[in-house]
Amino acid sequence: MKFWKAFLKLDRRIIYLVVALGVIIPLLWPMGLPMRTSPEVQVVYDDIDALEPGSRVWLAMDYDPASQPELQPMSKAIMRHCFEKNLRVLVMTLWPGGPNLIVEALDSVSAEFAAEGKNLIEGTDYVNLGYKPGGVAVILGSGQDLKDTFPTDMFGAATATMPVLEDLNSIKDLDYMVEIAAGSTADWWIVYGQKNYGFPLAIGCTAVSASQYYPYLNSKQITGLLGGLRGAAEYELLTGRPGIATAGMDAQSVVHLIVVLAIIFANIAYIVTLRKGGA
Amino acid sequence: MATFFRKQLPILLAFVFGMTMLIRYYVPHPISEQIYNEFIKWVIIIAGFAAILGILSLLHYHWNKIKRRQPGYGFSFVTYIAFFTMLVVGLISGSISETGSPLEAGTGFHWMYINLMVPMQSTMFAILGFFVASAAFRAFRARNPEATLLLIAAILVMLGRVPLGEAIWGSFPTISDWILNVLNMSGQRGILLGVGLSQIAMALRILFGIERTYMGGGD
Repeated sequence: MKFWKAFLKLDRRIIYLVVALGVIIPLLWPMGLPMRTSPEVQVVYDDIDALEPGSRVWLAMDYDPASQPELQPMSKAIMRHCFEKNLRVLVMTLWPGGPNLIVEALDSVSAEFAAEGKNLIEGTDYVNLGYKPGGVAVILGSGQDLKDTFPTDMFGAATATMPVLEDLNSIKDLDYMVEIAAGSTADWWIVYGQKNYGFPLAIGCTAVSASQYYPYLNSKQITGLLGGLRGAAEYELLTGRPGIATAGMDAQSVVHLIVVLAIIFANIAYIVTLRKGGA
Repeated sequence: MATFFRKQLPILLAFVFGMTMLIRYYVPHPISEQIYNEFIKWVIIIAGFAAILGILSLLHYHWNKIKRRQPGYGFSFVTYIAFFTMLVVGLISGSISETGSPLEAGTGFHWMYINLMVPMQSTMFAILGFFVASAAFRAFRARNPEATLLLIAAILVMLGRVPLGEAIWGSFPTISDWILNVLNMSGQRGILLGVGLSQIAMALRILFGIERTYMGGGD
């Protein structure tokens, strides 16, 4: 009885310490647990894999540094897959804090491919359209006239003459789009983008917001869904290039187990103390 | 006259521009398309200016906090220092970079963004993990049937979404998928339909000047 009462009053710093160890230890000594692929992630991979070389994939990286540990690996995994398949990638963001994350992702992925002997050319293989204020208006504008909405890329180069945007006047002509979102921009792309212009759209989002996109998945308004670090890790494994998301899954596994055990034991303590009239 | 600019004019503008966009949706004529395209450009330009307004508002708020020595005004100094440091570094980076953009890789601005902003913001967000664990331990109790159901669903989804859960019991992912695809999906769909209907009602209220809170007052 005393034990359970004391357990319920456990110092929060002990919980913080246990969680910290649960993150650090698996990162230092990975367990390498096998992971199955969710159908909603597999479909995104299959769709992109089936695109013809030269097809254009729009990647919206709508997040800022707060969500980048979960979402940046997702963006990079999609980029790697696209470049491996010789697809052309158009990247942009509706978040003012996002442009440098695009630069970081494109730079690191380009460097990986350069090390493998494949040099990606800006303006031909990909374009960084950067940040544009206006939210929904940017989506609608890109559907009406893409080059009018984005007359230059992020560094001021004219988009009108870029081979990557050749004959592409609207987002309705895109072969595929992946929206990686930390907020409500995913809803904008579904409602104002996919609904109006009909391009195939997949969503990648933080784990905490993944549950709200299942209705769109069920109604086939989105083709697939990458939820949180798990979605990124599954995609990395599908592309055969395990990265930081895959490495982070062991830590996430242990922390989930810690939280579950904390809930179970706290409830046992609660019930025991309640029955003895001491809660 | 002041009342006209404060009340009637915003309502009139909301009605005229709102109705124009609404009519355009049902009349896809080249002229309406042209007007629509112009409107989109305006919105993008106005949104750009809104960012300036936001910055000025932020600086004004913190300036007042410093001036009145309000509790925590020291953090307002930090905001000012951080803002102007990034601004100055950004301007210098832009002036010396090849493309004229401070966002280019290799500039001081990009370096500060990657090595200061990214770790700081990521850390702030990651701290939530610790709070969630502590809060779950303290507050997640099976006090009634609803809370018990929520608790069981949370445990099943948490274990079903990680490889360790799969290793413990192979059916965790199947159960987790079912919860997300059936129970969660139906609930979310209901919420979405409700939100959609509310948005239509709210849009009509704004168009016809019934809803005026967006002007900063309830009257």
